[in-house]
Amino acid sequence: MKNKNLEVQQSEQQKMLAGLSYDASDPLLLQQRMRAKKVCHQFNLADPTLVEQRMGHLTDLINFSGMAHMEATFFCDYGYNINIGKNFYANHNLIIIDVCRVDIGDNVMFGPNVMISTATHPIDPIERLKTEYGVPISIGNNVWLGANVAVLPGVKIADNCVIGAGSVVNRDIPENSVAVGNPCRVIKKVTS
Amino acid sequence: MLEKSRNDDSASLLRKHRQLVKTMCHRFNMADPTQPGLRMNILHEQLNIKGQGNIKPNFFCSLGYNIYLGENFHANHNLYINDVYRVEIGNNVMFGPNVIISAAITEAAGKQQSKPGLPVKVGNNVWFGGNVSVSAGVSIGDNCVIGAGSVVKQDIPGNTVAVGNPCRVIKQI
Repeated sequence: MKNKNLEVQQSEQQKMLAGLSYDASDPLLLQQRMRAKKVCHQFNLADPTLVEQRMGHLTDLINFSGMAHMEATFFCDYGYNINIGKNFYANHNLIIIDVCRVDIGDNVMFGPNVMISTATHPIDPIERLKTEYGVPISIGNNVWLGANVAVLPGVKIADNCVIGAGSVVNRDIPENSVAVGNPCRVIKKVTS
Repeated sequence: MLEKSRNDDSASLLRKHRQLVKTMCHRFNMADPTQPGLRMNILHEQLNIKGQGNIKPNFFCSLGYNIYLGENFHANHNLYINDVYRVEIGNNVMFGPNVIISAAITEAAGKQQSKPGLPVKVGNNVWFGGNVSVSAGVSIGDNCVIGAGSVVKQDIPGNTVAVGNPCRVIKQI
């Protein structure tokens, strides 16, 4: 009962960030999403030859800590939950569903069509109608994701990993691994 | 309409319709993202949608009029429906990003197909994870959850969780 009262006092945004079930139609969340969608839209329509100007659209939305280059199109839900390290590159059609925190390290490269989603729903069809929540995702330094990789809610990919094209990463991947497949499994260690 | 399209006159009509639909999808994808209702109205021109529906850009389809979406439909970014044949989706269905549904059949070497595709049916209360592909002729029952990255080539019975390539049932709900 005590916990329930506590929950009532939390805003939908606080619930969302805490990984609790939240109402995505909350006016504040809706407003924040619309802002992010607008910025992504401007980025996607911008002149691809004016690289810095185009990236400039995203700098107020996403927390970059250094040089980053992303190709169009790019979509995210809120933007402020995304933290990207130095020297980041993402090829076309990156999607980050950032209802919770998404941390990306330094020197990370993404192939085309990468999907990173922190958002999930219950398996029960009745519960699913009204429930949505997120689990944070983190990607370490010097990680390379191949094309069409899907990173699912709660996954941590540690430093120096290579994730093969088309992989569906539903579990944590330890550092210095080459991992591939659906579901994504470690096939060898990176040796330098 | 589909059968008629085999002769020349309707082939040119079909070509014109495809251009119209590509233009509609383009308008949808370029539309103001802060006005999702107005943006959805563009797709209502060709698609059969019960209720308002909620689809995020980019969206592409081939004919539009073969798509039937139930009440309370939600699709995340980059949905692609190749609707050369009927694609029917039930009520309360949610799609993650990058879902592909194709009702088209590719002509196997030396084999002429008698029809351009096979219908795809998705039941009520179904949830697709991201990056799911569904092939022509597939029927997915009510209440199913299809895991991210699945390639669905065979029918999936209702009340199941199914994942993988090829997509297989891993548990009952």
